[in-house]
Amino acid sequence: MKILVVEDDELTARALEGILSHQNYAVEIATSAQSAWELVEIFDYDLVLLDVVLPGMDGVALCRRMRSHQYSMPIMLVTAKDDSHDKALGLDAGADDYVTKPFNSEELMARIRALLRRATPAAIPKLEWGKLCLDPEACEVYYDDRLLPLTPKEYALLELLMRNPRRVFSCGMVIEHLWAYDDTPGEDAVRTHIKCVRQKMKKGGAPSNLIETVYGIGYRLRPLKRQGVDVVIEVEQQTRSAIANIWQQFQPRIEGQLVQIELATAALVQHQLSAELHQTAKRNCHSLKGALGMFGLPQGSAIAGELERQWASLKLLELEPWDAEFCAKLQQNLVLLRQEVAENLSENLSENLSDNLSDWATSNSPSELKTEQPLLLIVDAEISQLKGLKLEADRWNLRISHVTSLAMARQQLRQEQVQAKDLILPDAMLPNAILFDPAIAHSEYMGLKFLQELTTAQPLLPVFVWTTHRSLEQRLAISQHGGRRFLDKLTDPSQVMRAVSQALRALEPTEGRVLVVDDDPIILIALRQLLEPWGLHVEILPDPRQFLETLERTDPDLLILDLKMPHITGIELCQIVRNDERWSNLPILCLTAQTDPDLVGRVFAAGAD
Amino acid sequence: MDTRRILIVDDEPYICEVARLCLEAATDWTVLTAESGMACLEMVGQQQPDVILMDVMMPGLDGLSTIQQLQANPKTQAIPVILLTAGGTEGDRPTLYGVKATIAKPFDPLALSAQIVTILGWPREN
Repeated sequence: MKILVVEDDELTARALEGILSHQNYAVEIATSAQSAWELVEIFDYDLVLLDVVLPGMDGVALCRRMRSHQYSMPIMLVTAKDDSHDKALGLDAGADDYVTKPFNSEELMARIRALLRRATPAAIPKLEWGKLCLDPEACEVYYDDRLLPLTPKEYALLELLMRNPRRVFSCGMVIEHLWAYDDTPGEDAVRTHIKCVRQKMKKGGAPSNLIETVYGIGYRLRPLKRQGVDVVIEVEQQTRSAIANIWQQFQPRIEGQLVQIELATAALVQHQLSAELHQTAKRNCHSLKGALGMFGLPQGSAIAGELERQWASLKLLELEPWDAEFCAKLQQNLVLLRQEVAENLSENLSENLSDNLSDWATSNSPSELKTEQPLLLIVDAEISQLKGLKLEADRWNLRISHVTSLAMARQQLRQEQVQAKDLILPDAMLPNAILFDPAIAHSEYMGLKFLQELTTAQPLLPVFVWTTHRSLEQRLAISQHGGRRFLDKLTDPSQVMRAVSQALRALEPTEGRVLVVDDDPIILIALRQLLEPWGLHVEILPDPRQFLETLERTDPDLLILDLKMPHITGIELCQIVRNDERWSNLPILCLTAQTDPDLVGRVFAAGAD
Repeated sequence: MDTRRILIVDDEPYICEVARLCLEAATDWTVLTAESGMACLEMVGQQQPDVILMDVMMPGLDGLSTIQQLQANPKTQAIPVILLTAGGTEGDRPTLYGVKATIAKPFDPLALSAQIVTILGWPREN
């Protein structure tokens, strides 16, 4: 860390140099604003400590000059006068903080640390898209090193597109990003701005279609092209990777199509297939047949094609009882199709992880995968209220998959184990909870045995025994085989989903730990009640004297400190934390009933955030 | 620069996206997409694509009806159409309605542009 001290009084300058070097900062001294300016132009400083009263140009003027030349490092003013007007002038000129002479060295150091912590990492990177280059610091855009004369709105528009290459922005989205809420123009304004930018680009030598119109959707940067034979392979690889991203992106849709087919299959088995469901199943099979091969799943296309043929051969109007063999084949193919899709998902994922193609991956944020709906696997020969369950599941943000035999359930679960071992991200197939009717098995013994396997192999997986049996004996047998949760088959679907959701929520890992130190137990309890619903783990400590032990034990992600406590104050705790290397980055939030600026200043000086 | 325009009509958004991606990666064409027959008819007159890739089985106005409409309009009847078909229940339609050729779904994404160029006899890029 390099600090420039601008101070005309030699004694003060030497004193500052001593204090700062003692803290391992590299220090340079300038005795006038002019020499300071020359140094700033040549070297990069992390912070400037600037005396207000200087011969010639004063500190405030230098400060203004540095800011107007885009120097963004933190500037701290040193003023001899405790004059509010002077301070305001300095802050308005772009200074970040000030200290009053004579200063306390400890406070000065704390303020410098706070400023350095707040400072943004050195340079903001330029954005590039082919020959187009945007410099966010200077707010300038170049094409092939030629400056484009843009208005602020045009610049903002281009920045939006360049920060999100490959993303399409509708006029509405552009307005949302670029205009204040109470100042929204019509969509025509966006079109006009786009037109102007295109014209200016064209004048700058850029192709006019660098911003392309995606018909009916909006605008985006035109994807970059590469030329020459030597990049053909690279382009192919990138294309494959990008296709994998599209596959990821459309995973929910493909999953939805599979579920539709499964729903129709379940209805068929129960002799409740409507003409509409039949059509839907056929159409979805057809879509998957035409699509899966494109994503590198020729086998998946073939199975979907076979399923489509099977569904098409089913004549709804001939009201013959559909034979079990036909249904079994259909279900078998469906399971195969599920497997194909699940395998591809995991392959694509691992491929993507190994490929170093970051710029192609931007359109696919990993958070989309994490927020995927949990899958509830229903293992039951027939469900009278599948439709109701499905509807409720949607409401509770759950997906449902239904298997009608133990063999099919095993198949799905076995696959899951293999994948879990390889540490592949959870895929669409992986059930997060199970509704299991033991009566599905040929004998009670088989059903209970399956339950035992399941609960021993995966003790954390919530398994609900889904039954109409209410005799004590049967319940006892079930719980002896690991059954811990019961749901009556006559339970209202919304109750079923509520129970499943609760079980799932209990399994969610807590995301963050918060340590709250406050001598007032009411505040402690209130904070816990307030924060815990957000998935935070809240540790409370009423006695600040046990602070260090508790801090080490809980290793929190956030510290909340009351300022006024007996024995040790929050400010003191704050300093203790900041003086320890291990906790120097721990965010600290101070609670106080006072808004006295002096106190607030001391809080920040102690290292609070 | 090759300034050809190609319109892809398919109700499955992921088909449109993959086709767009592959064509844009391999060529300089402008790729337009429409997710229904109606959307295709609405934009085609104004956009005047050099070729249309048309899915056959779509809800609402299906591919073949859309082509009929295109044929009935003097402004659009000259635009060559390539059918995208997954075969099966929709059958292999003969080259009615001035359809140039058929590309079977699932298509090979990396070969799509070459297939189109071959079908239409366009000069290859260097």
